[in-house]
Amino acid sequence: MQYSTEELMIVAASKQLKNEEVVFVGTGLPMLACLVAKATHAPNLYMLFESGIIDPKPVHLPKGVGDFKLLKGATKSTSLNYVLSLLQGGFIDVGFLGAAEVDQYGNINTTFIGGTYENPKLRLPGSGGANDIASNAKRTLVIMPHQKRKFKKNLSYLTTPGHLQGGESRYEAGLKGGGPSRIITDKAILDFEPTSKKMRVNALHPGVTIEEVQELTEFELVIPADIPTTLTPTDTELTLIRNIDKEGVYINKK
Amino acid sequence: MLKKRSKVVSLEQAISNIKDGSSVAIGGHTFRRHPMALVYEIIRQKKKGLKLLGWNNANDMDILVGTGCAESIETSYVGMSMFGLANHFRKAVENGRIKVNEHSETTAIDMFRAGSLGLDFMPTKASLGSDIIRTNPRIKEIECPFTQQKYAAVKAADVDVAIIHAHFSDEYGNIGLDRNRLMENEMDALIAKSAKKVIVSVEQIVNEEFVKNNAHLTFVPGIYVHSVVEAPYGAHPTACDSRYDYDLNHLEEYHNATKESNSFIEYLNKYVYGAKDHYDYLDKIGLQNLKKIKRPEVIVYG
Repeated sequence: MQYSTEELMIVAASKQLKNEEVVFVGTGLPMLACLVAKATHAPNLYMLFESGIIDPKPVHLPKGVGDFKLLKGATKSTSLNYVLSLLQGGFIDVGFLGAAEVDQYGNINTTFIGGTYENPKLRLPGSGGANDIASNAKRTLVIMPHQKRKFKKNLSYLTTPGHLQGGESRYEAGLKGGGPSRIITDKAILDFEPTSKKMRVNALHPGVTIEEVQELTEFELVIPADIPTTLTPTDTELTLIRNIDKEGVYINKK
Repeated sequence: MLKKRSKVVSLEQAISNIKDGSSVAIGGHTFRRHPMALVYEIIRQKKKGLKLLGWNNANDMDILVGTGCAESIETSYVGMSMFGLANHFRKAVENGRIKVNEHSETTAIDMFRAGSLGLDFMPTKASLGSDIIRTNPRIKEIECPFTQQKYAAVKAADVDVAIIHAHFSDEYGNIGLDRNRLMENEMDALIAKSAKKVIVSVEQIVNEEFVKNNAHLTFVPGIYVHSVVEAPYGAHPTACDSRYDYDLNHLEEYHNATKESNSFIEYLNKYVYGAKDHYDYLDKIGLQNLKKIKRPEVIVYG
């Protein structure tokens, strides 16, 4: 079956999730990735939503944060305060993040771009729960488009901690969680070199070259000798995704 | 016996208690249960220099910035979710008209938590290593006296007035949420408890007997509530838990209106300045539109 890049990304993200893990998930592609994982290799994955909903079985996909459609089948509806406390308490295995800008250590900016903090050129909404997720989840997955203006040597503002300045700096800063483990883009999957914590190419999507990915990245990527190709979605996985989002809320938008 | 003082006042009276330059904490989050009727009245009364506090905000703060009521903002997020950036907030920050103190959700909630407990600060792990701790004077790094671990200390919020919206209250300001609610809501209670003065709008005023028979539904007791306003659909266009959903059409109308100053003035003239009170506002929204967002037929559990 023909697949879209988004569908490839959803399946790639779903494969990062293990059965019985507790995932702090946002709406959009991360939620689809969780639902695919639950329908395939991780049936007992627990989804927690920022708005305070635990382990739902949504029938209709929500359009944004705080959408009550997510309550369907949930085992607990609580508050954001409660799920944030679960993060800090160390109960969350995986957190999903998006990014306006990312640097080579997986630090994220969603506050402003260009200019100074007092007089930014483009002001963005801010952290929301992203800093909390990145500070405290055992590991995080970042999903974002691969563009040179987003993969930056220097961030305008470090809203959300990745591996900070690399090496042991994240641990030394006093952060509890383990930081980003994968960045999934429309071109590749990236991980972090274990010692330096510099961003490394983990897999390339079908038809994408390493030159292309480096060209779309402002900083120098760690490039291993052998780079696998990202697994393409199977017919079963594609059918699953299209069934889950049959109303076209996130993919094949209507 | 001296009769207890009723705390029920008109919308106009309630907001007249807010002085220019006050710090005002806004309840609710994202597109949920912001006290919009109170916010619109702040705009009608042309308050100036307000220092706005919250923990995750949207059209509530954006419209206060756009109408020149706000001087500074402290929260973790000001955005219009699926519609995009909050236009007034964005422009005001870009041209230096308002000052922002940046937070994560945890640090924003912790300033209210500390305030609600009467403590000077609250320790947290959030914001360590980020520019949030470097740019927000309310957050400083400290060392745990027991483990020598690093922590961020968030200084208690100094809130003059908290404005929140809830389901019901008796006339003495005992504020309750419906038994059949979709979600919990401790944060509004923390925001209220951290403030010197609490102004609450509710969907309906109930009799004292109802509160006494359902005392476990009271989430903000009247002992620290200053005034109560009856404002059905008082969170519109944001959602009010089990009562009604968010009005996406209206939120989009607002968002589109904020793209240009002419269309924003038109919006204000229609819905805010042009509405003499909350009931006039509801007339302009129209019963048909309000019926569309009413639960339970819209969603209740998906």
